[in-house]
Amino acid sequence: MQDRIKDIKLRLNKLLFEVKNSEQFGQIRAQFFGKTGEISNLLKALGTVDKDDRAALGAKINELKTDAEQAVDSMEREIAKKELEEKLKKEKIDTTLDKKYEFEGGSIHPIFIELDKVQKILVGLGYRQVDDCEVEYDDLCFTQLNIPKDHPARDMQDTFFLNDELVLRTHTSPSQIKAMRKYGAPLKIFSSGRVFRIDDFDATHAPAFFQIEGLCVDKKLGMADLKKTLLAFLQKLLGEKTRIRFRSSFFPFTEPSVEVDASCNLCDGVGCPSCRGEGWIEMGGAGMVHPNVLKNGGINEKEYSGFAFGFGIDRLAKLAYKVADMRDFYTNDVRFLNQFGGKKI
Amino acid sequence: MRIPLSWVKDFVNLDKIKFQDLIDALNKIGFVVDEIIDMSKGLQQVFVCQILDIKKHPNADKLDVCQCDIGGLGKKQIVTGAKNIKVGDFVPVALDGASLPCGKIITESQMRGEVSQGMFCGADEIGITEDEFEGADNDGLLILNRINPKAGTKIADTLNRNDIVLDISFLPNRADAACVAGVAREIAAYFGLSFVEPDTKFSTKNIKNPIAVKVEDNINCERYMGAYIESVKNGQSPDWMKRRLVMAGHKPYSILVDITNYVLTEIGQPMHAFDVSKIGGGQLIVRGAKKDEKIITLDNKAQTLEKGMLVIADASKPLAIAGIMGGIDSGTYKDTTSVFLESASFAYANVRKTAKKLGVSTSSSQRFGKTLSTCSAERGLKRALFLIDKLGLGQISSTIVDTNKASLSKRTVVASVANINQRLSLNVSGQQMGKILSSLGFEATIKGDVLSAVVPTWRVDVIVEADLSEEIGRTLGYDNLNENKTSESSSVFQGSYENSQIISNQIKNTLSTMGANEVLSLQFISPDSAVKFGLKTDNCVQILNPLGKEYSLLRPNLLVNILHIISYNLRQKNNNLFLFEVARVFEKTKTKPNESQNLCIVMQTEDFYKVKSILNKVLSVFSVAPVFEASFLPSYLHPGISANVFVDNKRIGHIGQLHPTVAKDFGIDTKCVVAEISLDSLFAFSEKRVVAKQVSKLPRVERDLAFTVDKRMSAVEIINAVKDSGGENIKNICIFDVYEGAQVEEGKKSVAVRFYIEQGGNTLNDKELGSILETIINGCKNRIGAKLR
Repeated sequence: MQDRIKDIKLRLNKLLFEVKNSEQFGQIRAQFFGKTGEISNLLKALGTVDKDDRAALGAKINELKTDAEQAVDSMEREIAKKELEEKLKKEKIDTTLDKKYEFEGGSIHPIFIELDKVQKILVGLGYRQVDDCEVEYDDLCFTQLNIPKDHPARDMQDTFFLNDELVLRTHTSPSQIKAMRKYGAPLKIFSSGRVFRIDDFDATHAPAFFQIEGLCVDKKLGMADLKKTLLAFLQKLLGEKTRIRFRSSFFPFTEPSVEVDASCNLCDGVGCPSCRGEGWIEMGGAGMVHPNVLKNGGINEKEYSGFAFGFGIDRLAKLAYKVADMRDFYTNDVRFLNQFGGKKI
Repeated sequence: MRIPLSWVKDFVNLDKIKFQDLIDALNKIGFVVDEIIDMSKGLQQVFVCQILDIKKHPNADKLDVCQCDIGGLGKKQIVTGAKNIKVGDFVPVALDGASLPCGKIITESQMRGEVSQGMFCGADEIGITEDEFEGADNDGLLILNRINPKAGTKIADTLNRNDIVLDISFLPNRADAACVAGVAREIAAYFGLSFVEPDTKFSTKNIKNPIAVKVEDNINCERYMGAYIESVKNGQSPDWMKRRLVMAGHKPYSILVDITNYVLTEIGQPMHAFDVSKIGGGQLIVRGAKKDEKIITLDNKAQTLEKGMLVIADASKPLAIAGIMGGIDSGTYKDTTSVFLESASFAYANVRKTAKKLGVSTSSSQRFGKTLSTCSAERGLKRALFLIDKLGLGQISSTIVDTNKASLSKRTVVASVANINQRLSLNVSGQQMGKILSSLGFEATIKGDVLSAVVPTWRVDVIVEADLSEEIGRTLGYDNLNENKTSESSSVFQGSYENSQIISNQIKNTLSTMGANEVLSLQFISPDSAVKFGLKTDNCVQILNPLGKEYSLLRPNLLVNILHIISYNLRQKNNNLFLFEVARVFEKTKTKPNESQNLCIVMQTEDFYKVKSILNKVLSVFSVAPVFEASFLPSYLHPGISANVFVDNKRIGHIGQLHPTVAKDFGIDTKCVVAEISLDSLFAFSEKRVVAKQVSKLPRVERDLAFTVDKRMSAVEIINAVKDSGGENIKNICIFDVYEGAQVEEGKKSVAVRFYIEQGGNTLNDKELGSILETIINGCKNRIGAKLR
């Protein structure tokens, strides 16, 4: 009996040493641990052994069984692990290969990326967005903004008319009147969207463009408040080093009115091809709100003053992305659009 | 507007001002210099020479070899083909290195064996026209004998070409400054120099006053002034005047017309000269035009007038359209011997309206179309009379006619020094403010905080305190504005977005992440495109004055323009297009058009369901359950592969395959599925709050059932039947396979339905599950006649 135990141990070890793949383990288990397997047979044969030896032998056989099972299990795990590794090695793919899926393209339009940038800055500066319509009453688009009918200042904005009373808004400024009437003073709002002016469609013009304008009404505001806001705004948009300057101008709804230039962020104001050697880039218009406009907005112009500023988003986008031709924004060639794929709003 | 710098110097001494400082100053104070034009450009190497000798070229029949004297530069040999010269003539000669205005570059060279040390010039080669120099307009060389030039002088000096012209953009509120004297006054004020008023002295003789003036419309003609001049000698203007007019962009005609243009450029006042012999009845009447009254204007065009327009008429007929253009019959010509010179103030609104209606734009109508002061009429007239007197062109034989002397009353603006300082964020004394205003022609007095400024008559744009602050601000310049000198307001403002913007940004991010390109198109469409879409142009919002027919309607949907974009991209061989746009569309109403924010998605695919699934994903932003129904669809969609989209029983848009005819009309040769919905009606839903439900701790049970149903049965009907019979524990019901064909009977289809059974609190045993399935099978049988396969 002792010999048989030894023999089984030896043969099992040999088998486990020689085993090649995990499929062989079924057979090994059947041979040793099955109902008619060698270890089971040993246990059955225990009955024929001397009573005195029986207990010790039984313990030996059980020990053999436990050890054998552990040895088989552990070898099986080892083999299986090796086999899996072999298999995974064979499954290697070329990760440099690209396959085409539908979601690979996709982009937000650059005008809206730029608009979003500007909006985020204004919201950060405490401005509240007001939405507005694109077809506007002549009265709100002009007269209420200090531009009476047939006034020469109307030449500044060549207007599309639907009839005597309705126009396609030439600027986002009607929002100023509406917001002042709705919310009163103090007030900080911005309005953005499409505006329309009769202009040929060429490299630098379009009959429509996107404008964003801000209005702040509060007590004792002066040009310094305007400058501080615009400086903060343009530094955020163009870079911390940006400086700004004002040039005297005319808008019927502000007095004084100024053109706002920012130092070129490529050459830091020295002059380069991007700013046509000027060192400065024209950004937009601004000024202190004309008292007539405050009055038309229902605000006491003696108690409050305000400043307003406006920018053309298309121009900003053209500068920001170095787009040479305004029409590229409206041609919508997907090869052009996909360049903006990484941007979200 | 072109302003010659030498002319400006008539009124202000600029000797001590650097040129660049002058340009910077103009740009800062609101007079933007668009272009600096050097009139002597290309003339640096061109001199006056006198021809000493002309000999035939030995080797060329058509050429001559000339010797000429160029003063200090010595004698030179020039070969020329010109035939209009003789010995002793003075002509321009371009020497080696000259780069002429015509583009020619001159080098010393051999011409058929003879040295030519330069080139004689014709007028066109050095950019001189007949307008500027009488006799320039000939075929050969420019002969300068008439002006007795000196050989060796630069041609730019001889022809007074050493000048700089500034092309300036004037602001629309500063019509008063849009002239040579106006610019001079602004420059003088900025640099603290003195401004020399234009001389307006003249003498009169034999006062006759043969023309009486009557103004019938005092509103549209605020002031009418004029003077009678006899013994007129009309002819060519002197060279210096012609040259100034040419530099300023005017074409010289005759001295009478030229003087009106000269004064227009210098003082900014448009004028008109009538031939007195053509004024019937000795009277000029400023009156409203009669309906269908006719006049042939100076440009030889017949104009039919309307009521509301203003004319200058004699007793029987209109002689001029007020402020716009004179009539051809009453104009001044060579034989004119006496004139009435008009200088008036016409209301800008009337001039603008009339000019627009007649489709005429003249330098006069452009001036009167802006806010021009009534004092300008007087300044202009007196300056013109000064010139006529000085040049001896005729005898001024009338007192000055003036219908409204009272209009010269001056306006006073009373302001607070503190308010102006606050507006400008400055700390300037009242005295300094007064000084600045005085330099601009105001009469300012200061008493404590009160600043009273009598506004100069020409500054019609200065009305309130804010206007005074601008004058002070721009003269001091904004360069030193300290941005930290802000007001100390304690107001707190909360920045925020409109909800609609937040939602559309989310949608844009979702779609672009799914692979769609956002496009941007104009709000305009053409009537052609509308018709292709089965839209009546009358039902679209029309623009009265569009850029062109193709831009004449406001778009009623976004799809039209996106199809143009699809078509363009396909031509560029860009494929697998997946585009979207969010923008406003316009619906015609009896009053203001309705505007609504739409979303349009177009995908180049045959798979309707793919786009439907994308649309569902987009709508999930709003937490709404859309219903798709195939009825009353737009004609531009495939009738069998399209549906209307409803939310809360409200139609919000549609989805479908593009109709092949429309696709073809737009040059699209692949299949596209399109969806367009109105976002406006959905924005309100986005505010719905999410209330979370408890989810069962037990796993759910997946089951499939296959039914045979009527072929026309819709997916929604089948799903609803399962839902209704199974109760609320049946979730995620979907149809994953549909089969029609030999394996099922005629008129039927086989539908495979998959769903999950939620177990609630206890694990369901096989018996319980079986009974649930039984209920569903029986329910479907009763509800829609479905047979289990």
